Amino acid sequence: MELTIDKPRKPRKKLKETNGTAVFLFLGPTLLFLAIFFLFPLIATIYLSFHQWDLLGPALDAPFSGWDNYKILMSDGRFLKALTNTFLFVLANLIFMPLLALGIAYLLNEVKVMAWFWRLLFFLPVITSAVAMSLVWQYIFDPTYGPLNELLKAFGLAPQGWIMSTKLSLISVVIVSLWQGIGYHAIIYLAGLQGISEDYYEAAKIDGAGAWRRFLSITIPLLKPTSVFVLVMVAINAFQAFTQFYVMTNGGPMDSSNVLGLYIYQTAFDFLNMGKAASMSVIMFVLVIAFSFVQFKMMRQQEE
Amino acid sequence: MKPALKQTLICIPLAIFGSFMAFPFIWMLLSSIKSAEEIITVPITWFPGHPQWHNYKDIWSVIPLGNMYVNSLIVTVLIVIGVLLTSSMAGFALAKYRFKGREVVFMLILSTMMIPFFVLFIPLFFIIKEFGWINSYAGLIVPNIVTAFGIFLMRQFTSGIPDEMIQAARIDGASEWRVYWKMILPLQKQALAALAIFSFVYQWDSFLWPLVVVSDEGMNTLPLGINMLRNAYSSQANMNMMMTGSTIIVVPSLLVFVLLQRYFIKGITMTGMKG
Repeated sequence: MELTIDKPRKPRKKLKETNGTAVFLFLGPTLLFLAIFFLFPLIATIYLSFHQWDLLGPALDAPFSGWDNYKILMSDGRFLKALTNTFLFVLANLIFMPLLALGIAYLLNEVKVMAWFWRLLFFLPVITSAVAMSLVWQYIFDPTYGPLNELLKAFGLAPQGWIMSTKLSLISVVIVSLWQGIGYHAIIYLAGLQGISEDYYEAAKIDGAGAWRRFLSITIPLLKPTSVFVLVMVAINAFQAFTQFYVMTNGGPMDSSNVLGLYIYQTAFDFLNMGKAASMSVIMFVLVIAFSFVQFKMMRQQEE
Repeated sequence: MKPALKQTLICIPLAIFGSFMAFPFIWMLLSSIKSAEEIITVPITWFPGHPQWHNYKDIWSVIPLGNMYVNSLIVTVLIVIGVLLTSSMAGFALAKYRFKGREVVFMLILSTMMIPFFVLFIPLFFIIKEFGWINSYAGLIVPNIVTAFGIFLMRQFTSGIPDEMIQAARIDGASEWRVYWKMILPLQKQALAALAIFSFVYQWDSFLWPLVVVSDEGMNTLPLGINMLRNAYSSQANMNMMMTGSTIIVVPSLLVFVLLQRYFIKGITMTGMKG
């Protein structure tokens, strides 16, 4: 990049002309694609959220309904429940995912015995089919035939209803989402840990800092960029969680595990209320953007 | 602290956490060879009393697994090819050409990563419907052939290729396309391999979009098929078949991952670090 600044202006102009066609050639298909499959749907969703549309007739002829869809949502108990559950789900993920992932990454970084095996083990759930593993977890959580209650009994604890219980269904899905996501974030933390120079630790050791002290004063602050990335990814993913909910609980019992993604899907494709579904999509969009923005801001402030 | 003692102290929590990670897989494997009766015996049995290996043969006639495998393969492979091509070209353009609005275009592409799929999928469904692509490979494939993740990865990687090499090729009279095809593309190989594996696994597991596009059982991909199994067997008596089916779907991903572990980790860290 710096090279061109030193050079005389003439050849640069010539270069630019050839670039025009080349840029068009290399970037054109992607931009056209993004216009059709990203930009247009994004605008269309916002448009639909202000219209009443039940799939009959073309979308453009759907009657304008102003803020009606949004107003309906504010008094829709199922939506408010789904929204609350989504927040709880995101919060639980935001608290436990980075903590557990960092802890495991720390262990993975230190372990010398069968290092490859441990990495493999923690990463397996990330790459295996979410639908298949949700089925397996559904069976594990089964109050009558599942092994989890059997284990609880073995430890002298009371068996639970898990996904069949209004109190525990959401927590059950949180457990599965942690199980499936930890490996991914642990690998990212692992890369972050390996990027920290040993010199820092050596210097701290000479100053007499213990292992815990070194972890708090060196590792945590230097991992801040990694943590921002992890937190944003965790929030974005948790807001959009769908498959585990769809397969394991389908939102039940009694909406105790219904979340935004699932309710949007149901509203659109089971109840065929596209306008209402679109306005929920817009709300999800705003939430995701706001959350990411706040997280970036908070991290930046802490640095100052 | 002695190294041996430290290793033991590290291995103990890893083993405890690790058994939690491994448990669902072990339970799935054990259950997949149980009989329909044993799977609903109370109290439960941990190990199959009489291993029913024929479950693995029976499952193929219970659901059209072969057909689903073919569908999943076609869809996933074509998406991966599309992603590699668009990411490679767009990444090259964004890394090596200076043009008006380059930064803006790049930021816009990156920002699509933040857009939840739920914000797009209703209008996407109608675009696909307008094109007549419901229940078709095109409907499953086309909306997925551009990913911001891929473009980002390839831009970062291509930026590392020296400008001088490109200039030299130009002075030798190579066209822009030739520069790309003969020089850039081969140099991108390493990053493309990581991206290929990454998008393969991601697409192989894709569920929500196929759920929207496919209503004809003949077009089912594996995740849809295994979900169909759940509906077909709402009675818990056939949970063993669901576990057999799950095993059959999960095992190929496990093998691919065990073999190509290094590339995965590279793909993840390459993007994770820059965030």
